Amino acid sequence: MARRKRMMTIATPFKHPLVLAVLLYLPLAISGFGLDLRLFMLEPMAWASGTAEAPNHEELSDDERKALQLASLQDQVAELAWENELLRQGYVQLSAIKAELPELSDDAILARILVRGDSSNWRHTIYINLGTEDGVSVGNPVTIGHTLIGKVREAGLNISAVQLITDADCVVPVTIVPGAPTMPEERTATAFTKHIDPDNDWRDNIFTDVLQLNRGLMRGEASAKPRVPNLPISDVNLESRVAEGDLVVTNDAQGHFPSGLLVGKVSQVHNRNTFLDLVVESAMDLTITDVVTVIRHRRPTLDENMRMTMEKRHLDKIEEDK
Amino acid sequence: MAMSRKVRMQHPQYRVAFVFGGGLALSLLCALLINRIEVLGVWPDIPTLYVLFFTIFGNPKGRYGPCMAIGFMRDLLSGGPLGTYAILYGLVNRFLSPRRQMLFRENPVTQMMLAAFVVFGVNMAYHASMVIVGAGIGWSNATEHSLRIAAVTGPLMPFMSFGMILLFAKLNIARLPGGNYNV
Repeated sequence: MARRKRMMTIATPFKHPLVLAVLLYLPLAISGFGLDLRLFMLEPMAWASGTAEAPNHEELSDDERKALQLASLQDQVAELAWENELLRQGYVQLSAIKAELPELSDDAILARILVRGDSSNWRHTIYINLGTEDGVSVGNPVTIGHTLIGKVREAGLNISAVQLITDADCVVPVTIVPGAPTMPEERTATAFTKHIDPDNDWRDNIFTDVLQLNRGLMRGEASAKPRVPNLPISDVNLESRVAEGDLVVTNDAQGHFPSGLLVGKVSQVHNRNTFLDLVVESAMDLTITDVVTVIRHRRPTLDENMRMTMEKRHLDKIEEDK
Repeated sequence: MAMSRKVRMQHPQYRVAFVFGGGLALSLLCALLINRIEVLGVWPDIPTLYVLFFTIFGNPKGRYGPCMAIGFMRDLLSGGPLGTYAILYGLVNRFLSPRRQMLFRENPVTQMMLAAFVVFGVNMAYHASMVIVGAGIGWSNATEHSLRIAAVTGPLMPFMSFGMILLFAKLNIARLPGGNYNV
């Protein structure tokens, strides 16, 4: 029997399930669909991080009950030691923020890392046990002490996904601070606090003309380096005074991050004739901590931004008139 | 003719366990363990190898559905838009499954080369999906990154095939006419 020839029309390719899936995927990908569902599924992990009640063992003998009690007490000791360690890490981080960026200390809250990783080779994500119920919102910077590690990509009720600065989709506006103290070899949450000279007024001068030139955008490069990733900053002004070893901090040019969060140090400077390409050795090291700090920094609205700029200009004019 | 078609299309064994259990286990492995290992500055792309194994050795019943399901499992534990890996793995199956008899799939060297090629393609396509939404690391960096992932992952394919075939033997999974395993 002769097979009936199928009629090919313009609509024929669109009837293929894979083509339909691709067409459906594109608008969803652009709108960032999927994270809500993922966080909804991971929400039980945040509940599980709480403590469970001990079961009743009335039917057991005295010896068995004592052995169980002993095991339970040993678990409690281990749990307390672990809790103590988390509190110590949290205290160190909050102290670092209070010492370096006191204006942010009221907005800083501690979070525990639930999942440290991502199944994709291109995305770098961690999940933390705080969500919208704790005041966390999308875009909040996440730090270890005052060292930036990423921003909240999506916030659920009690769990949030944090996009790390090494994620290929992450862009951080930064300022390179010339002549700032170099980073120490030792990598702990407080290492930078110890080495920053309190008499150096680079943070007060962060808006000066010199530092305006030293601005750039640092991008994630999907590196698999678990410690101390190297991140590129491209198109830095050729006139900027940048040298290897200079500190790199965030700037609030786009309002995403507060100024002054530590990012790392410049490890390479490449002159491309019309601009500079830099490589930053990030200070981020997730292997040293189980606790991170979320800074509930809100991106200013357009009106607020305009008002701040106007006020600044107004103050400048008053000073000039004086 | 009708008989051979019936044999070829018989119900796969352990499919749910291999697709959902295996997919989830590998995604968890990637999210929790593999990202602590760095080889040439990248991590090996193990779930893609699993999908490739399914594509060239699995029962063709269900077409690209199982591969899409494995991709979806991976998407669930990744920070990107849901469905990216599902579609990419569906496409891998769509393009390779009809050509499985021509791929010299039993030879470890061709397995290695095919795996490197597929891993490179999947990673470049993933980067393309990021570029669509305005992200990405630049095409030259992405090519270098994908080549490194392919170079690290490709040599693992013969080991994965060997391990899976041993597991199939333990589970008494039948080999169908044409050389496919009934999973």
